[in-house]
Amino acid sequence: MKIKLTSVYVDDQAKALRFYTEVLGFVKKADFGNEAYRWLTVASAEDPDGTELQLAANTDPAAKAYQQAMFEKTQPAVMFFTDDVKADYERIKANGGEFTKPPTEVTGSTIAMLTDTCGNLVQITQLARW
Amino acid sequence: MLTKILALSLILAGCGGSAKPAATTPPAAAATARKGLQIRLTTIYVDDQAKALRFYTDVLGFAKKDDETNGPYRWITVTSPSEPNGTELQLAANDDPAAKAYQQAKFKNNEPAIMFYTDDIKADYERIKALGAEFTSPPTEVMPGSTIATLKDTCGNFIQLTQLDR
Repeated sequence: MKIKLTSVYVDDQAKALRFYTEVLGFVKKADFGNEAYRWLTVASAEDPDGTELQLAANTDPAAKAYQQAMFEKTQPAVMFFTDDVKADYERIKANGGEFTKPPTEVTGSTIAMLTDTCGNLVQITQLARW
Repeated sequence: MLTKILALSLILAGCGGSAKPAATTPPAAAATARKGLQIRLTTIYVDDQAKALRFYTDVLGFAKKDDETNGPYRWITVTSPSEPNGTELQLAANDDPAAKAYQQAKFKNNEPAIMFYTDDIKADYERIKALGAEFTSPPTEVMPGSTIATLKDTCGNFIQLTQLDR
């Protein structure tokens, strides 16, 4: 069995698709509409057959409450890894991404945080090496 | 481009600080094109991390990857045994009220908290069932080319297994 999917709730799928592709640099993978339901995923541009991130419409009250609580506590809803957080920080900032935390060294890693414009904080993590 | 080169120089100049084993990331390939953001982690809330670790390894067949404790906090992840450097699943303690309410609502609505892919759902169903897991739905073709099964993870969640015929 393989772990190939993770999800983030977004308050607007069209806006999220723009943000996750044009600002963060992912590529659209799946986009199936079924009346009110839209299954939308993106993947890493370098690994399009790798793990997908589902941009899920936040239509469920429990999911919405959870998303809002995470945001209020400044907890990231999703985390991406990079081997160069400073380069991604500069690139994403130049694309208009709004960071709440610039690259900051913490134990074992350097992290940065930004808002995804769809109700979430996104953490970017570069793990320290030895 | 200049910004990128400057950022790289800063990182190279700053190497040698605090470090810990970081088995989740392959070594940097400085000479090749840089990768962008990578999707390498997903999370499930569980009501008991020790029980969850047993279930996700002994019953489902994942392999333990990270297990680090810091006071009351425990960071545990598992991976697919065939892809030990692939995407990790974090087994997160459900000690946050908002997360717990969300988890319970999903469970009450019969919604899976997580989905795994397989290329032989019947074999996984038989294997996992023989290890004592409780399936709420056996392998069922829900759409042409898409077969799913659902089981309980004993830690407050439904898990969906999905096989896509491409």
